[in-house]
Amino acid sequence: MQRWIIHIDMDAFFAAVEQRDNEALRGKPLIVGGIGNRGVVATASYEARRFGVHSAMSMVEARRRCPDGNFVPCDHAKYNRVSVELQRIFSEFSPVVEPLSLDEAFLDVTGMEQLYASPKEIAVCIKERIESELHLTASAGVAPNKFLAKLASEMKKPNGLFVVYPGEEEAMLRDLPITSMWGVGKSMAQILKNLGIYTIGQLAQTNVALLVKHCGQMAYKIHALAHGQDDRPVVADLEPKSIGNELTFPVDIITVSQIETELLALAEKVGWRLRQYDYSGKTITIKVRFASFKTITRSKTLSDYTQFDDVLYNVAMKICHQIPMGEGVRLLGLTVSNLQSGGGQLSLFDQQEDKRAAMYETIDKLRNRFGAGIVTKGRLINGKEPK
Amino acid sequence: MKISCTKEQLNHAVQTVQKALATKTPMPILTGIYLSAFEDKLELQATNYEIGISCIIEATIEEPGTVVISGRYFQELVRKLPGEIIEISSSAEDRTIQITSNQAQFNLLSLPAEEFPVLKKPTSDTVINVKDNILRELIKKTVFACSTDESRPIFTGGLLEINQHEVNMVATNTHRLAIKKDHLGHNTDSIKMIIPAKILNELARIMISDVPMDVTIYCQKNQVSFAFDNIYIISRLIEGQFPDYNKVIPPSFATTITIDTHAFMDAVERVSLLARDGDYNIIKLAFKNDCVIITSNNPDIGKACETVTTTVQGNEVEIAFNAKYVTDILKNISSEQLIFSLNTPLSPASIKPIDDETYNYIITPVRTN
Repeated sequence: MQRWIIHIDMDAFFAAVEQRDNEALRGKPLIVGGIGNRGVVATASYEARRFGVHSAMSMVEARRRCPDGNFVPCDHAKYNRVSVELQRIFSEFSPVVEPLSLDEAFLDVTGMEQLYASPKEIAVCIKERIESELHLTASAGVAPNKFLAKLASEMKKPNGLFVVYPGEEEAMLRDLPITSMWGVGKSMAQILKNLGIYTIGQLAQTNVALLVKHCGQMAYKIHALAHGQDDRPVVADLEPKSIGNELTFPVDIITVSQIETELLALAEKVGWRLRQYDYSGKTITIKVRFASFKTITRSKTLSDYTQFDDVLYNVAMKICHQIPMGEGVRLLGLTVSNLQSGGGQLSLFDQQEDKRAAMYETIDKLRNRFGAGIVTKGRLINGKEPK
Repeated sequence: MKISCTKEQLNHAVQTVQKALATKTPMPILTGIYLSAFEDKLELQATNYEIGISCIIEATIEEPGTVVISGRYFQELVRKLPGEIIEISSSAEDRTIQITSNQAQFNLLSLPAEEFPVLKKPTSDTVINVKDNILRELIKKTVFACSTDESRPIFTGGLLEINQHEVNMVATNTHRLAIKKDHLGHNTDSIKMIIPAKILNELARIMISDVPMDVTIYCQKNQVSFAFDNIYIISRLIEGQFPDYNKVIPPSFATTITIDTHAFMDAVERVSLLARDGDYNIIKLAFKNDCVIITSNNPDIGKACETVTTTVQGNEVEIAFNAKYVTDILKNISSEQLIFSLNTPLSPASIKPIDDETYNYIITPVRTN
């Protein structure tokens, strides 16, 4: 049966949501991201992109390029809410939806010919639903596989729709640069350029044996992709491998006490997320980036799974105390991996465990009802709220 | 040294002591088996300082003496020697040991016997006799519940408790606990010690007599010895305070079921097939009015569900467990029916055989939202 995959990608998602909710921002260059000098652009509206602002650019650079732009901090809670609505719409069109991020997803619509006139028709319907219910625009790519669908959604952005029909694969790919392929990063691109390969078409024409010699086993994958072949399935319910957060500080932090406070904030955030998604983990990893950008990670594996802030915090502290802090700290990260679904296994002898579980259950209930800031550690109160 | 003995006896002795051989050690002498010939007896010993095993067999001694021989090679070749009778002799000049059986002959280099930390036959003020069938049962029904996590040593051993004429063994990894009790038939001293699980399992493996026989337990300050038949085993004890296990046994239950052991075990094992790989795999049990519904859900593989009919007394309850913790105990229950008792989805449950108050297993649930 002919496979049909739709890739939906929202147009300048964060910026579009902010413009939707604030008339004053509409039609104007808008940059959403970390507002401080060390922030990074999360999304730039199309108006701002004309000034050369793009995501992942430093905020300083963005301000330089677009001094008259509107700069707005990220409101993740809001984007999350919109994303949930989006997922609901997707789920009405296909049972197999693989979300890639808040605003992007693959839908497997294979075998739905009886329900709709064509796969293109389904994409049109999805776009209409998003526009009428969420007042946002999306770009859609419709193709026989994931790789092509994703490329197709890029073709006519914004508010675009592009279909790749069987047989058109190679023609569509021929002139695209190799860097637009999945699995071709900086180093792979350099290797290919050294071989005189700049476009996907050239890659498709190259002998696989030669590619294997230079790129190893990846060669088979990228060669197949270059021919428009990709049999990766659309996977719903992808299990997370880790849950973590990191934070770049407005000013490098120096004192042990500051580091402890920030770790506490991270532990509270990560613990909260673990419990919200109902996971617990065994391995705790701390990432420290120093003022010199030297970055180190250290981890510790516990004997039992946990999803509690105080356990995360205590382990994080132990790890941090073993890291020589010779200079200021620019970024701290805390990640929990080795995950399992559900809470931990209860202990027979640790009576504290039950009380602790009850306490976190109460805290979580309060937060869900009154917002994240309703209950937190005293140490974190100085105007800072866990998100 | 010059001796001869039967292959059967020698092989038995070598297989008995070999579990005490050191594998990774900076002291090569501990990788050897110590042989000592005296008065129509041949004693074999091996030790890695954690456990030491001695086994004495009959032999014809032409010339007494002691040697230490590579454990790994000696063990393999004794098993494969062709004849019924094996002759062993040592030569002091070239430090070799000659092993002959029928037409086969081996010359192995010996290790320096004077360096071997020879085990001393145990003595102690506190001596307790327990029948080996009782001890074996205590070990087999509990030690599987021990932890393998060396960061909390006390849970890597079984607690042996003897009080007057009662003997108990308790093992736990803090998530589940197995307790088995028995009677000695006579009053003895009281003891309480934590013995490494590895050594208890080894002991159960070696105690294979058909008729019950006495095992003499010698309790010393930081070690314990078990002597029986022609064997003695010396083990270090695990130091530390075993938590009060009586506190974790719930005094009463809100829900109790009596269920066919085999039907329940088969169903649990089937449903567990889809539980997640690794050390953590959950199954959910829903105790309804007239049945137990066992389910597992692995997002990467699929779902399983099976219903076993039974009579549930008390509240209906849904609870999640680590599948391995459930199957482990079911394998050890020999009665046709078992009793499963619970309180809430977040409190420990008990599984035990019907009509048997001497065996109990406490299991903690897994929290799920």
